[in-house]
Amino acid sequence: MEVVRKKINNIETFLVKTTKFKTITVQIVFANQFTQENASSRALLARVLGNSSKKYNTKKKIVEKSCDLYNTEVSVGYTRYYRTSLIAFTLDVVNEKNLVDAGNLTKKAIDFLLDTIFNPNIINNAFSLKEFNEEKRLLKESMQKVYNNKSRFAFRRLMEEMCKDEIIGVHSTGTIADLDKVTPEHLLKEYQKMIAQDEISIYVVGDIEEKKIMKHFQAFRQLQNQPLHLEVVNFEPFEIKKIKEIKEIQKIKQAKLVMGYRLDMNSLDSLYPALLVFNSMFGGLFSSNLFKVVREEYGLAYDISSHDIANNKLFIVTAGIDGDKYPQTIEIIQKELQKYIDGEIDHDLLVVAKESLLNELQETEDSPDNFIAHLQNNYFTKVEKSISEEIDEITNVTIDDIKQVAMRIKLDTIYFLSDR
Amino acid sequence: MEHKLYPQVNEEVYTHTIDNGLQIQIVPKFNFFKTFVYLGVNFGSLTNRFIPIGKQELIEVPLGIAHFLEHKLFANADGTDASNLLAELGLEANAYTDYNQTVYLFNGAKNIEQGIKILLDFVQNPYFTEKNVASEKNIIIQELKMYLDIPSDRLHNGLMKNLFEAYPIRYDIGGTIKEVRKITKENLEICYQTFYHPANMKLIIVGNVDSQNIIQTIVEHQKQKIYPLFSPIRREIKLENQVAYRKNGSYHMDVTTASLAVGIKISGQQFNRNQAIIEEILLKIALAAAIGPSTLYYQKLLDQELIANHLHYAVYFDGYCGYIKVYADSHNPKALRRSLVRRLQSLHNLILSEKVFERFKKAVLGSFIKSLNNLDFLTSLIIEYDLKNCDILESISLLEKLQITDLDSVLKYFRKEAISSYLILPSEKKWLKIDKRM
Repeated sequence: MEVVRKKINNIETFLVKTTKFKTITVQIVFANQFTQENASSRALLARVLGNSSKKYNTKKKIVEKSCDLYNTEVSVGYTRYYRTSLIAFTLDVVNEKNLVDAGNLTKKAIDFLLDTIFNPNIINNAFSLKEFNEEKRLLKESMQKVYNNKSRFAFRRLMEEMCKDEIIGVHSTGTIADLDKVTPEHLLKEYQKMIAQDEISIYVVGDIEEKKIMKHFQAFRQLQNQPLHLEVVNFEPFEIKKIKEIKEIQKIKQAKLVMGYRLDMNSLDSLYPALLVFNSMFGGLFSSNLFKVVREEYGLAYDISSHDIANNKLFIVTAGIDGDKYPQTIEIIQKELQKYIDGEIDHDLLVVAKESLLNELQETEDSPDNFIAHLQNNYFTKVEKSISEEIDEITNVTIDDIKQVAMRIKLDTIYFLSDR
Repeated sequence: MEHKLYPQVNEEVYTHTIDNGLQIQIVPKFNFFKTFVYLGVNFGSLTNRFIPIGKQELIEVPLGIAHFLEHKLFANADGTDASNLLAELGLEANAYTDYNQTVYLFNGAKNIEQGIKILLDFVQNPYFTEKNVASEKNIIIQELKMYLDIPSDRLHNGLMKNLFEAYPIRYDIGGTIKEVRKITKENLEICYQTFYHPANMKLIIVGNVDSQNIIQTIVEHQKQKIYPLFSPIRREIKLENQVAYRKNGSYHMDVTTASLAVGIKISGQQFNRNQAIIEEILLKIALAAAIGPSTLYYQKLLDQELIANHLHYAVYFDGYCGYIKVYADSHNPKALRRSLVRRLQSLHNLILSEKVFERFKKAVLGSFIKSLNNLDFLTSLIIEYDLKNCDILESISLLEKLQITDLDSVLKYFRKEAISSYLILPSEKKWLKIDKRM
């Protein structure tokens, strides 16, 4: 899909005109540093902005407006990549060409989006108290709810233990204690900072007219935000003194094992495509080592897989097993990893893994969200890589590359949430 | 090959039924890279009492066989695994079992015709041995244990047990550990022979394909497959009355918040063409108007902190039974239950303005059009609704014809005696016990 780039002052704008989708998607991203201090407040800010504005100051008004605009959704998302915090305002509206008598739907929808950004529910120099308290309560609930999803909880505990004093160990929404300290006045300051200082980028995908769309973004011409130095990838060195093993017990039917490995490389490394292929081979596919051996051969787990978090220099293996199978499972997993380090690498599996990743890459242009994610990745890493270049990189991965990747994977911490 | 146009959504469908009974539907989408292929077998977790092919006597098999078969069919007699064969062609395979069907699927940007042949081959060539059945049991038991720790699964199954006395929807789709242990190679073979007949299957293809060529390829491929003449399979359905089986129930788990589900039992639905779509739309509008996020009622639940995040609802019909389910997390689940039960009963007399009705119609319309962007989701919708005698692509014209008076046909479901609830409670009473009456 063809991308037209425009600039509104320092704001990079990506316009993707395509007749493929029945919708128009607009995403406006505000990016700044991620710190322990701002984690909870930016997470809360996203919620508060997404759930009430000056004009639509109750859920009722927002939902009614959304329904009137044919289920137009304006959502505000909060994510974090290493030391970068993103607040993304996303609009998803049916393209009026698909409707009879839609009456200027696109303009109304974009106005709704801009209202969410520029017209917050502020009263007396603070966010309106009722809505602020409600969103704070709901955010707290969602933070506490992680405990109920044992797989997620186990992963969270691993990160807390393994990366105790590191930025990657800080959870994206901070802690409940941090959240409790945020006041409506404080949040207003956080909002003002976002509008005045964040680095802004705009993404549009759909059957659009360039001139018409750009006219809708007039409000941004007044903003003088400067580009910031934002880090989305970890380059910090690590040291593993001793492998940590932590076991905790809960009243559950199935134990959760999480193995945390450090990666001696990150997602900007030339070996990154090989890491993706390795991950598929080792624990991502039905025919992967972990699946074939731990699940099919030994029947130890139904749910077992590996995950690369290369931008944080981490590699994770997770499994749901019976509590008494801990030592056996660890041994098997380590043995399978050792095979790769020793160069015992299945060529057929390499081919299948590449095919699988190439298939995934083909999805990039089949959804507005996936394509926007691809554009954002290029933008924030400051590396312009086309989809066909990514395809070539995967295709060119060799057996030796896979071996090199395996040698960069070092066990750091094992967390076991057991039933006994 | 038949061709049908849907001008309102700018889509078209090609359909064809081949000699052995297999039905094919193709939705061409030329400007997408990927194609999605779903093969659905009309055999799900709700069927465990039936008359096997060639026999006269009704038999009962253990629960969980449809799901077990789904796991097993990927293994080929020559030692290869079908998902690996597909993966070698750059195709990603998967499968799922639900209450009414088992679906085998793959997606990819190339080699689609080859993939379809592999798909049909592995589904049509079962390979069961005592050994591979025994080892799959262990894996499935781990899978079932995983679900036992998921609060939302426990909540759902608990509610189903309360609503229905005997209808197999009261059991998890995978069965129970006890039932799965009972499954034998012979059970699997009988079920396979009976239900895995092409006339009991549908193949749905959505994506960048040439319909003519695909149909030709499938016809050629299936020519060699000889099947006995198909006669409709007699399944024994344990019909239910209109009254919820048990009023309440609960289970303690290691969680921080309680969760509540309130359900309404619906029994004895027969489906005329597209009736299921219409009923679901009307129900969703009624629920949105009564308890959705645009209501004062919803705001009250938030103000009184009776819900911990969102209030969700779902609707299910299958031609014999159905349910309406409303669920949420809560630190005050019993007060929430009182409020919801009262509210749902009152829906019997719901009054809506034309303005509100039209507003929700617009929302349903917008939501449907958006779903057409997601080919995977679209394929799954087509196969699900086809089983319920519905053409999902006709949704817009059905929606347009709906009048506010049509709501009466669904408001009748909201009756006191059909309502039941289930609770998941934290193990220790850590949760706040504010039992304020509303």
